[in-house]
Amino acid sequence: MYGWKGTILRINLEKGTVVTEELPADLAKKYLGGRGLGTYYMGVEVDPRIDPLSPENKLIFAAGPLSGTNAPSAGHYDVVTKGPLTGTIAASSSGGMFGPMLKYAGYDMIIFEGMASRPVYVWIMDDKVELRDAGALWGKTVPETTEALREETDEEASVACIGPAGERLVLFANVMNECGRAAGRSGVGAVMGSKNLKAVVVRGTGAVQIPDPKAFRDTVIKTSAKIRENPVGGSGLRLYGTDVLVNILNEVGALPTRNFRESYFPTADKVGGETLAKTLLTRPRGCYSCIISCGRASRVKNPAYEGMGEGPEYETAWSLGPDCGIDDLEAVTKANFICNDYGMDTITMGSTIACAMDLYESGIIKAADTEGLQLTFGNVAAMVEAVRKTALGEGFGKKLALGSYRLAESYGHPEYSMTVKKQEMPAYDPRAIQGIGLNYATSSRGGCHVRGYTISPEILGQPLSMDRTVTEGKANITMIFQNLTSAIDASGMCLFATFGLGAEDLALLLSAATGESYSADAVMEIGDRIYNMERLFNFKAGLSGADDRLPERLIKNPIPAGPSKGMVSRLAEMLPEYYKLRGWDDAGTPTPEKLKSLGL
Amino acid sequence: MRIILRTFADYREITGTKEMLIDLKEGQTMGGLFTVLTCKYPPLRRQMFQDSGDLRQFVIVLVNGRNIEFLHGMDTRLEEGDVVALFPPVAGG
Ligand code: SF4
Repeated sequence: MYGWKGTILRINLEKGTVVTEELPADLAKKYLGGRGLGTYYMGVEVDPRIDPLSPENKLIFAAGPLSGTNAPSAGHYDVVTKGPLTGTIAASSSGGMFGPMLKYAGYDMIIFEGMASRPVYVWIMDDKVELRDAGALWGKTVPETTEALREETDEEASVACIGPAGERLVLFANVMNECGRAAGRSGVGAVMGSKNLKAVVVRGTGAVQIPDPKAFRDTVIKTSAKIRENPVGGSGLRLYGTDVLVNILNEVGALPTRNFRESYFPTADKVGGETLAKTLLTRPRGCYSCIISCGRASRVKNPAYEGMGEGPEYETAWSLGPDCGIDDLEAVTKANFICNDYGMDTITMGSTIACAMDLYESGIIKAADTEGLQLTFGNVAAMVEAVRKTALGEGFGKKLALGSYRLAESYGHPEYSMTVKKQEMPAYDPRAIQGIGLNYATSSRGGCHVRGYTISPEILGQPLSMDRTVTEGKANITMIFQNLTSAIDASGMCLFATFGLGAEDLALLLSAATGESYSADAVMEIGDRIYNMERLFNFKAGLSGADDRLPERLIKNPIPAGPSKGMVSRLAEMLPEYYKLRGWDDAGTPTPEKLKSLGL
Repeated sequence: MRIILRTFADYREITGTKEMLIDLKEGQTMGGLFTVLTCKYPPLRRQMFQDSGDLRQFVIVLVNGRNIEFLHGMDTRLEEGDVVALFPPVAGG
């Protein structure tokens, strides 16, 4: 096979067995890899009704056909499993070097089954695969684990591991690779922890075979030039990182503030990308084969928050910042470092603290519940301490470790949780930006911006400009973005490559890498197939169209002040049209005809 | 009348300030404001506009949080106290 390696590694942690299987060519062509192939195998092999933290759940690490090639930003892989935070299918994408290394070692995908009886890690060196004892690593942070494992195996190896948060089953624990890159959302790290799997360490010395290397190189040159010529992909992200979005979202009045009570934060600039670039940034960082380099290597020298690491990204600067009423970039960055070191998703962490602050200020959570921690909005020290308590599993931190929905529900007030399908929404207020609300509501893994990033047209004017305040046209653009994103996630490319590339470019790259023939339409159909397959998994898990909702606060409470004053989400105006365009019935269930047309 | 101008990212480097107050004639439009601005900060002209005089692709101009593309473009009338925000092409997620 070209592009793909044609081999799946299946590791049963209970029995300690390792087998290789052939990747069927027809499945590869139909689902690509990453999120697509991973979800396919989850659908076929796992009963969607199982407890995500039980041994019956599987955990899949899947690269795509482009991972490890010279295609631009083609260093991604996905961790696919049933997510413990949402109870939905969870596919979390990460960059770095892990995906390419997996391919160089000879595999498209690893499927982990069962649960080890004691902590283990997997060491993959090409065709040698070993399950090794990880007892001495249990309890170690992500950087400690990464360093120890590289010493124990190979300095060049890529390490994907969980931190103590994953071991303790924090419901939003992530999988970190190369220390600073995260398969961040939906709690995939808790599933890894539940399996007693501390790390996957890979070193590959092979290559990805390409049918016509010259033709592929030409396609890579053309598509890379498109990214370079795009003002955003070419230089914008490198200079300021994703955190540059703080100011623009604030200026349009869509920066959720104090747990979405408001949408404008007067001092937001203090945590924005411009400030970061002038203060804590040491250099931009990029993943494998990336010409965008959106990553931030940063350092805080202030002894109160001293540390080094990666971040903050926009979502993190927001969740631990304005969403908690905070504008202290050093404290936010420190909290980000703690999340990275212990392996926790920063979006859910920050939003859960914001929810706790809201409950605290409303008199629902009392100081006695929090060991005296004054969880008031704007309390910088309390925010950092709350992150630390969650990371270490101390006292009230154990409640925060459940995410905002279960926290608020335990106090009888789930309406304080700003979640969709129990996952925290990111940093765009759906009252001020109509399309993103539809995307959140219909996202296959709950509140998430990177299922269908309508912020591109609605705020950034890319690739076309749409009025953020209207609902017309949003059903269609949401569906298109969701489908394209699914295909990108299955290909092994980074979503940010779409700041410059579209479905045609992806089709050209996939065709040149695999020798198969893909058109732009075929790529979009693959995306559609993946999205519907995820929907089917979720419905079998017990969800329904009734779960395509936003928190009441966003439907009923108009934004109180700022540039988007008076706006609410008009989700109900968009949802029926969206269902219709998708080929789903009025209740949001995929129709038999639709499924048949996608070969599902 | 007086409006508030905020600049971001690269544009902030050109103006050297996050925010400034600008006095304009009553009834002035966005086009008029840009004439004043590009006179004062010539590099802004090259960074924001094509040779044709149209805004460069993905440049974002907001008046009170609304993109002028969905107001009246360069003919958008400004009023006392309006907040104008200028962003070069940016992205994230
Ligand atoms: S754009 Fe950012 S996340 Fe994507 S591959 Fe490049 S550095 Fe990694």
